[in-house]
Amino acid sequence: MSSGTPSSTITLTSSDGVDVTVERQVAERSVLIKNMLEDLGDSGEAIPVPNVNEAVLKKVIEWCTHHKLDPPSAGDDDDSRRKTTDIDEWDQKFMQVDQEMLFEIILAANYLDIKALLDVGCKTVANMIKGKSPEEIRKTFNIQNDFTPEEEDQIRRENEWAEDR
Amino acid sequence: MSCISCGFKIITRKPWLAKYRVVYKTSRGAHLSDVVTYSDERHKDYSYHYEEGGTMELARDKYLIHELCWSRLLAHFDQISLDRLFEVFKYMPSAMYTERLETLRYVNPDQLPSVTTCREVKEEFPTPSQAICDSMNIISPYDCFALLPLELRVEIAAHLSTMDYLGLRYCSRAMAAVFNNEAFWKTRFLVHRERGFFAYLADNQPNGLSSTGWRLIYHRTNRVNRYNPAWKAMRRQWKTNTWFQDRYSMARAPDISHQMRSKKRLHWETAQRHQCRSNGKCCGDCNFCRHLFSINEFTQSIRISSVVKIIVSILHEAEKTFITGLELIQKDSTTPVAIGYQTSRQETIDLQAHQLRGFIVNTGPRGIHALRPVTNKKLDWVGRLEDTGNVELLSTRIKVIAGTFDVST
Repeated sequence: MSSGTPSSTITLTSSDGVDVTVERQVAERSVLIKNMLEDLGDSGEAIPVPNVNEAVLKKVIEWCTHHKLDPPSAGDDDDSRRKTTDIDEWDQKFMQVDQEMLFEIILAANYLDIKALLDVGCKTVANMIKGKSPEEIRKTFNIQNDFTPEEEDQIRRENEWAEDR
Repeated sequence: MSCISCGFKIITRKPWLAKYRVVYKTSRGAHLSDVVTYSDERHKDYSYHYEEGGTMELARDKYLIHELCWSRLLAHFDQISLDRLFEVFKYMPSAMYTERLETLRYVNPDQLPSVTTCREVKEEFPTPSQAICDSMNIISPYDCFALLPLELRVEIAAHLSTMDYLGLRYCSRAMAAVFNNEAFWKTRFLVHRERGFFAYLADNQPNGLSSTGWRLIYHRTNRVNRYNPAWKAMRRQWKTNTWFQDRYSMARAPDISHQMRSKKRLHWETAQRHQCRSNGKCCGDCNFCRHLFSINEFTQSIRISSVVKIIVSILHEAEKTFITGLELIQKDSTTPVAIGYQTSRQETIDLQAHQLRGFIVNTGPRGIHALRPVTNKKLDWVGRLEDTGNVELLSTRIKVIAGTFDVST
């Protein structure tokens, strides 16, 4: 830990060069930023977040602000978070964004090392897939079917090999 | 004296079946005893009512569970409230077990079937040609999943059932590639997934991903439980524990309590003790029932044609399913209309712009087994159909759906 009382706010610079001031406790939901502040000390200079643009960064900060008092997330090996696909009501509403933003949030959460947000993002995508036919999934995610008949046949044979019969 | 989780008796002959705990209830709530060994003097205190042929009424106040079974049950939960668990135990249906105990074997936990035993040869893997391998690796510009690195695609797939994942493979090359990832197949052996009854295999192999071959084990454990009496017993227990967890986690829709006429909540126990009940049902006519219904009654309104998505909660019980709750979601609406109980097993029906006209429900004496929304496109049933009657509820004829539910705090 850096010596002295850490300042209550820090500044993050998004990939498109915009400075965003945020409460330190909120920013520390990101393990990446928390470790940086602990290792390098808080010099008061803006911390660059080169992989995340302003819109996504603000969205991530909105999530971190709401969850700033949550207990720290469990480690990588914790499988309990996979036990259900339940998503808390506030998070469900938070994730009602367009698909591009949803994938950007997942990537940002992964880069910034915010496990709980990454988990919510992945669960949201999984819930969009559950119980749907391939045709419905393609429609949901705007995926064009470009598989050749040979590729489809290979997938079918592999699936038959794997599935419970 | 049988264990509530595995169904096997508590006996001294097999040491792993001799140690048990008791979940019992006093006026201060539910409690868990420490470990009791069958030969202990204390054993008499807990089992005496059973041994001496005590009445069922007395027996209902306590449930015995092998020490080993208790730890297996705990693996299904993040945290546990004994009061709630006690209620779940109390309402465990007698028809939960479909296999006869004589066909099962509760093996020594130190001698559980090994990975090697599971890997008996079945079908050869249909290895793809080099040309197919190459073409499957092409990144499609129309595939949003290609934006994500493999580890995140695995993370998404880990939240899906294997059936849902295999369907997804027909849509996305990026997601199809997860099929070759051992970490994904290992997640199938987590306690809440299809191979949850083999969770101990994953527990014993924390780092053995590449050498073990989880995909191969998944394939070779297909149907294996049907033939091996030890695995059959483990699967049966796992299904029972899964039912406990499902039933335990059932919850009223979170945002409806404020709509109730009275803020005064009636405790589950109070409602359960109500004397008018016969066959588990309220008479609906006495003062208590009228009071019970009135304080918890509320109305939610929705134009059925505006529903864009339906979330159906399901409880699996032996080979049957029960629909426990519905959430009707309107476009641009922040508050869904919810009825019944939410479970952790939900199916989402995206109506994809097809106008909802009502439902067909497959009912039995204990509730609704399956449900099919009626739209201009024929949709699949949610839940397992039973050989009982179907009832059509169409919006042209039905104005109100009313439900009465047990009160749970």
